[in-house]
Amino acid sequence: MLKSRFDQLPEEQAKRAIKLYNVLKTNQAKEEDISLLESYARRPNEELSKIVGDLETVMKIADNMKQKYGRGGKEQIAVNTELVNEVKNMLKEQLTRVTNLEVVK
Amino acid sequence: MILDKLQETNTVIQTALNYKDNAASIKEYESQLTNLKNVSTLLNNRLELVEELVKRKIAEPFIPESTQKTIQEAICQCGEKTEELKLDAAAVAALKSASELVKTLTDTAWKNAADQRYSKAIDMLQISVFLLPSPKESKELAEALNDARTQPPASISGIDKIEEKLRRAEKLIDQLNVSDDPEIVSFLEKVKERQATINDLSPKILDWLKNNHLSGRFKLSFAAYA
Repeated sequence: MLKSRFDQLPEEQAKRAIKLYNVLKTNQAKEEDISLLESYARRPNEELSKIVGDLETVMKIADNMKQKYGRGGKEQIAVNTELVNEVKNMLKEQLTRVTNLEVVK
Repeated sequence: MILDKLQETNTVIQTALNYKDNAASIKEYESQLTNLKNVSTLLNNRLELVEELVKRKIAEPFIPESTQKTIQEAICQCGEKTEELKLDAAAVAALKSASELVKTLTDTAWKNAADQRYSKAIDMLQISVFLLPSPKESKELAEALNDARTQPPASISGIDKIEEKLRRAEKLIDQLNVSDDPEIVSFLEKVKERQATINDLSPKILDWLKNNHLSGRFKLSFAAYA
């Protein structure tokens, strides 16, 4: 369910939020009661609250991810230096071996 | 407030994604490193085999200079990318392909060398199997040497094994004192094909049979031919 709510790209969500924010701002500036009622009837306020709520959920997920993969996180992977050194030494020896090969010119 | 929240969320998402990407790229790097180790081990075995074939004078040097250069470049590329933690599948594939090239060249060199090296022993074992002290062993040796002509050894111990069989075969053949004499060889070939006649029993052949106590190992079958 959460996935379907956040399927939109962040930029699209941002654009939508800004649009709603502008609708609210414009309508609040209007003096006619009827227009205000009309615009609130379309419930941009609730929608904005919902978006803010959604954003907080996204932040929580992102924070968890940061902790999981970040420095000291349980999914953090350090490069296996032992393997790196082993391979580097193998390549070095191999290069010497190939260079010393008797070849057909 | 909304814009602040959006900005904050974006920053947190971006940082989290970066961490995740790093973890994924380290995983990929290590996976390629393991592949490289396997490819490299195989190439090392193949190079050892090349060195050994030349060292034992089983084959003349057969790796062209251009191939040597290709292998060197592939090794250097893998080394640089390993150093920079940027090892990718393409670099490993290039070394693998250089290793396959070494194998193809080694196989061809081996087949040519083995053909010359083992043919004589195989032929002698085949034509004189009935005269040798252990026909079963002689037959097995001939088969093993024949198989080796088409199946190059995968390691130095493979070369050792087949060379040991060659030595054993030569020892057995030596007991016949044939000394590569074409007349004796031709006689044995005819006997094997059941084509020998009384005319083939020349004084030289009779002497050879007597001197090596082989006269009793032959039976004459009389038949007249038109």
